Amino acid sequence: MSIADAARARLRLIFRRNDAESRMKHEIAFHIQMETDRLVQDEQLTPVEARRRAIVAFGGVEKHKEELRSERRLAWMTGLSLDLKLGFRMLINYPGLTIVGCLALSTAIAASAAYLEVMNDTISPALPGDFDQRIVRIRSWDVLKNELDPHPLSDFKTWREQLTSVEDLGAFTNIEPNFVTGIGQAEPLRGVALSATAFRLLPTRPLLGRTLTAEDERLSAPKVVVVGERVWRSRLGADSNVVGTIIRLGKVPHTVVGVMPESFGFPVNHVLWVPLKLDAMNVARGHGPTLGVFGRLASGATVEHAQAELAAIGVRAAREFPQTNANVRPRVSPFLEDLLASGSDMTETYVYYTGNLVFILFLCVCGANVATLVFARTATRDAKLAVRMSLGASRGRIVAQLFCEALALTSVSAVIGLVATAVLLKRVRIALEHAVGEQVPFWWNDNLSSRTLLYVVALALFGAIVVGVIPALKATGQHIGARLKGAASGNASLRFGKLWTGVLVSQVALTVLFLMAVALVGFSMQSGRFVRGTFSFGSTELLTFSSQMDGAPDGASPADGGSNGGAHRFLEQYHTTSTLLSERLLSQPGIVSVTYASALPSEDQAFVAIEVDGMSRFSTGDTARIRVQSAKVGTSFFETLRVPVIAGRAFAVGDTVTGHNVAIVDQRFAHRVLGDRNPVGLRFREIRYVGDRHERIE
Amino acid sequence: MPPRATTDALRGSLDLLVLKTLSLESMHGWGISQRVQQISEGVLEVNQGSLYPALQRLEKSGLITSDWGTSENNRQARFYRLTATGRRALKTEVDEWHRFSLGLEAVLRAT
Repeated sequence: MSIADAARARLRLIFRRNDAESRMKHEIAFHIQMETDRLVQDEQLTPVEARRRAIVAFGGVEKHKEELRSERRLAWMTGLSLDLKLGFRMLINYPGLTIVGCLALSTAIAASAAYLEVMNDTISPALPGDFDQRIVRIRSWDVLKNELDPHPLSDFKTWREQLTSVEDLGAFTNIEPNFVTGIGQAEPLRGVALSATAFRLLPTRPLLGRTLTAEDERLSAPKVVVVGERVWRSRLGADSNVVGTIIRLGKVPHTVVGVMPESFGFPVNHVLWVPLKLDAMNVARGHGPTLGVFGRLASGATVEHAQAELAAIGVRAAREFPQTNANVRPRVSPFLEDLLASGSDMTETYVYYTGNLVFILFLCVCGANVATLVFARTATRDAKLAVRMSLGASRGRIVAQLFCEALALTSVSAVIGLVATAVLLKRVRIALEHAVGEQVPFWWNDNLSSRTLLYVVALALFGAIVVGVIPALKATGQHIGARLKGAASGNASLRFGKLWTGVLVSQVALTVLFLMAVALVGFSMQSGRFVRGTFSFGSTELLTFSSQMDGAPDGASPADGGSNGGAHRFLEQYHTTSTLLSERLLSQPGIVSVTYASALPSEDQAFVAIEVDGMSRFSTGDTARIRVQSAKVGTSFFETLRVPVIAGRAFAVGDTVTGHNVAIVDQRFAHRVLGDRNPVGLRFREIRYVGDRHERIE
Repeated sequence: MPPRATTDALRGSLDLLVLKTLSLESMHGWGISQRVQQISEGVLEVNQGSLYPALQRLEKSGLITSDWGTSENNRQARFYRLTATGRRALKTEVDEWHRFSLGLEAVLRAT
């Protein structure tokens, strides 16, 4: 017999328990029968006497059965299964405790599991299973500014020519063209201009038509577009003959060549794909659109190989183009690296995961409350437990039994918690989409991952230790003699009255209700931040919208102040269009004022670095350099919001003239930065990075 | 000698007796106990109840294997037989036992 055969025999004895039990009984019965027959034949005994002597000679049938079971290492397993059965029976026998306990524990388990699942999707996102996991992202990092180089077009062209460890290199840039319907209505859609190689890397096939090809990237090629399923259904009437249809993106007609399924949103959550025509972008090094670069690791190559090769290319570029590349270092990473934490520093990742300790603490609080209830229940069974112990059950055996009872409770709670988590995750997706106003990334997974399932199993075990073991140790710690005496006199030493049990049940119920209320208030406050807001101005009278104009060349946007020379004409056109739009809006009944801002008061404002003279509070010298949040706003901004300017003056039309830089600060700025000095008339400088230089704007 | 060592020695002897008996022919549990008694002319008597844990232990170790069969009086019985591993183990055990008994005898003969 080989080792494998021996292992099989061992496993058969352990796991085919019923077979083993039956075989054991049969063998012992056969043995006793054979011995009985021999005694009848050899010693002329009566069958009854012969059988009695055969049993005596065997030496205690039950004892040997136990020995056999013990050899199979099944004694503990039998006990465990019995204890679990008893535990589930207790759930039915004590419905009040079961309901309150399950509610408390499942709330904590669901919260913790949902947190972990969301963290997994954001901190450690993974491409869907059928995607090639060797897809990587390449970025240029400006080590001086400690930020991404937004214009890596020239570098991308170099990488595409020289890089061998990453193949099928492609690039993308976000676009948000107005989708114009037949009746002249326009609506911006989240699209992307990308290299056709993307569709070679990704396994998703189009629902209709074809994907983009290298031919489409030629400058002279007809303008084509691939649309997402959601656009196809909502804007194109789910027309099965849509391929070949002409649609207008802004002012430019495009031919629809394919429809991608809704599960496809590469690179993030895009619903429209047009070819990236790099030949049309003859811009100087250090300029060009904001590009993302992706590719697939070549066969046998690793991220480390690719990084080494890229580093060498980066050093050469820095030598050849010191003006633009002196401080730029290319970096390669898995396509979906940390979204919240920076990839190289794991500390942030740990910090985010450590946030789950709050929910584990919540589980401890709930578990401790339920443990009190379990202790109360154990007190009512003290006499039975004392008798069991007096008959030979060890303290460990009783603790194991009570642990199994708690495990039954936490297991049911874990199942309820998992169902709640699954529902919660769907709600999180809806809340996120509502808050951001966009679809979640295509790799976002609503389903529970195996990691989360294992985590919930661990939580159930942990919960069972809190709920079961602590009361069990307390209940079995007392001297057995005293407990038996108490049980005999009907005064069990661990007795809890009905009143106390009621008080404890109320306590746990209130804890759960309170925590749920806190969670609900927190959630509604968070939602309110996006939906209603509580601002000092009349927010209910305000209507807001965002506007964007098609065709911004060179990645320019009105908010950057037109620093890019190539965007000047576009900005003029944007200004004219905005003015016209404001005038038309003002002519509408009910609209009394129109203004604009780079960000709304409820949104995160952009940070800018400023220097303020004479403010030694923030630096060792006379000049303080700090980062503050700021927004670029229209001259009638404060008037429209009905926020009075409490010192100095509001903006005037002349303030928009180039070179005439003015700012309005809030009271917090005056207090924190200026130490309550009068800010009117004070001068500060805004610091901008231009290449590797700082440019100061007074 | 401490009690545990005695128990281990007895258990080892029982395993050796079972292996030797099964090397002669396949047998059920009761048959093994009878054969040991018969060959030893009544000197060695196997504790019948202890026989089955020993058989189970040997089977788990892969030294013997078992199958259902029909006994001499037409009853269903579990028949044990030696495996190749068991045969090798028996040879080693027998050699060990001989060396042990010679050593023991030498000590007992010493004056």
